[in-house]
Amino acid sequence: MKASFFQRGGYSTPQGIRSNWPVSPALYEPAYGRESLHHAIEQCELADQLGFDWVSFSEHHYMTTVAPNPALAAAAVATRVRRAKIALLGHNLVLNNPIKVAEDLATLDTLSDGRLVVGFLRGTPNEFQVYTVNPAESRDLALESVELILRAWTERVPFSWEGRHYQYRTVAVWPRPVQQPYPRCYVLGGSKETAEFAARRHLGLGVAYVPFSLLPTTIHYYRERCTEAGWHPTPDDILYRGAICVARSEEEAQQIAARCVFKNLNVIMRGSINEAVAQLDPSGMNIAKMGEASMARFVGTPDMIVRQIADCKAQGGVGVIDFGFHVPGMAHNEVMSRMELFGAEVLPKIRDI
Amino acid sequence: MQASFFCTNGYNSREALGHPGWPTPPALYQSKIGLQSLNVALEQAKLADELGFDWVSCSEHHYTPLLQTPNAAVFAGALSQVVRKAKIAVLGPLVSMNNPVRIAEELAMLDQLSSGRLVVLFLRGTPNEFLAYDTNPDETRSRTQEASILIIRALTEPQPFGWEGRHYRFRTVSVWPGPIQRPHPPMYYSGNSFESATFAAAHRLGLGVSFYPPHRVAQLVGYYKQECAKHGWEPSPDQLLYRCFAAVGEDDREADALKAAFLGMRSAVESLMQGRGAALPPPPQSQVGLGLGELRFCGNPYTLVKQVTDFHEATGVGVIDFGFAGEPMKSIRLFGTEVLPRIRRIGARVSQPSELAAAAAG
Repeated sequence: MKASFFQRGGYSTPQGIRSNWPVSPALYEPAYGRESLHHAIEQCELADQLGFDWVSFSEHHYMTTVAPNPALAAAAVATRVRRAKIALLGHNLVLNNPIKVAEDLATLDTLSDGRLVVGFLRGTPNEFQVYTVNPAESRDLALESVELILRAWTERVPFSWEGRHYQYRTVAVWPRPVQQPYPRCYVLGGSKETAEFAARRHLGLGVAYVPFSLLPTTIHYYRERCTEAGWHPTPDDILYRGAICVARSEEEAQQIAARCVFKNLNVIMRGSINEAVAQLDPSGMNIAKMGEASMARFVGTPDMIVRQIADCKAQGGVGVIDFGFHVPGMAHNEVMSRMELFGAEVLPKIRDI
Repeated sequence: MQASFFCTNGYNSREALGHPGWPTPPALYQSKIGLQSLNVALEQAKLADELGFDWVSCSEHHYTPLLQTPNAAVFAGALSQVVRKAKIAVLGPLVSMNNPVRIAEELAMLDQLSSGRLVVLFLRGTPNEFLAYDTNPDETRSRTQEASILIIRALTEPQPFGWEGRHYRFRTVSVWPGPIQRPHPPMYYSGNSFESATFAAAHRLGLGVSFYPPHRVAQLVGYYKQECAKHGWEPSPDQLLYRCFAAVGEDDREADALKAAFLGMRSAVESLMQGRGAALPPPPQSQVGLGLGELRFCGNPYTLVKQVTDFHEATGVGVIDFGFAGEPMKSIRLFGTEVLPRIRRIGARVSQPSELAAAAAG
């Protein structure tokens, strides 16, 4: 079992910020901002030293926890973290020009000496408001984006692309990925269409935050589609992201986990935006509706965590887990000490899972 | 006078660099060389920083081995960790063809990452670059202007806002994180024409001029200063930025050899500008003849000091962004040790007696 450190916490103050989305720039204090980002880099360096296999980055806009351009954060960290893989999980495909994503990722693979891992992310409904995207088209948009990115990495002559959502007269991405034909990729999402697409293109699958009991159905569906496509995924092809609350006592861990409940997070949208999104997304992907659901799947003492990791593997055949240590209001030192606890008492025991 | 080192991240292969036309086929790329080139670029930046260059800069270019930085902000992210003292100068993003809110977000992140050392120049781009993301060339001037205003707004507006412009529409903008420098990092506008200079003056942006000969730079700077006066402000010398190529040799013979090699490479640069292989007609001769690809400064270190002094006297420019011809590490070292210390005092303001008295008193 591989462990990835999910870098969150691009901005944190001792008291935390209670706000709806989007968060007002007026609440940003440069002194805290400067400190927070340096803390984030320190956490990545610690993860590298403790033996985490990957350090990962994601993209969110107009909120306090995660940065809007993951490639930028990763570029800085890649010069400081020399062993662990650099995992972009991932660019929000709906909000990005696919050629730019292809260029950013190729640059990162070069910067990190061939240590890049890529996750293709469709994004959450509130983010469609960020750059004014039509949510109904977002799935098709994201899938066409992936096709174009893979082509841009592999085509050896300048080519043009006439797609439904993207048109480019001439594409010739420079620099190229170091890893050939391209870095290991995961398609991030739990839907049927995601699983079908990943299977068809021989890409890994990543799911986030779902209860373990829901994993078998999702992964089974993916495996069946892979068989139809003529290949069999290994555990390394299946990625799970979840929040972790590890402590010396179960009680302490539960207290931390209570802070991970959705309604405490900065993703509850302001009134009119919430309504607009609710109308546009009848499938209920709107995470604001998840109400009391918790993102914390790994809660307890180190031994309990080891058992939960084994459970995750048993239920879903997962081979990589992307752990988010940072919960709202958690100070940098606390994040570091929880990472150290994990590194000392969990990491060595999960290698054989 | 301040000096900036232009970090181009060029791909280290004669075959790829000599390929005519644009774009260069990806088939000519080898990972090993790509890796080596990038590591060398970061070494160059580090050396320039150690020797006391005031800025280290990068620029956005697509589909070419000459400058492998399709996202200047991402490359600058790496620079921010390797360059610890000099300013991180993103000169610049091509604002006519990218999402301006994304650019604002990236700039804020960079300012944060560099602990408040960011400097940015808003660039329009050259005709071949417009093809990379399929931007209508006829619209690029007005897109550049609208994008620049939106970027400034996105970095300074304290509450979420919407934007209904001619080229850009956003229902809600709320950039997070924000910049460290307040009200915002130093900003420049690419002012290679009178119209651009007018815009820069009207929006209190510094002026960035590239490659033109001294008399033309002087013209633009003079015009820009007049426009600034109309808007009630006066730019300081460090708000006048000039980008150019330079060749510094230990002696004149070496400098001449560097010049000859550079001019041999010029055809690659020209073909880049002309966007051969695309459906655009080549730009009018006047554009290409106006200095792109020329070596503005060339000679031994003492000659260079004199040339830079003369250039400042003719134009008033306070920051020069140098791209070095030949082997950059050697040029950086030579320039950094022999030229840089001697050009610091150029343009230094002589204090008035009243200022000295005030300083002594308080």
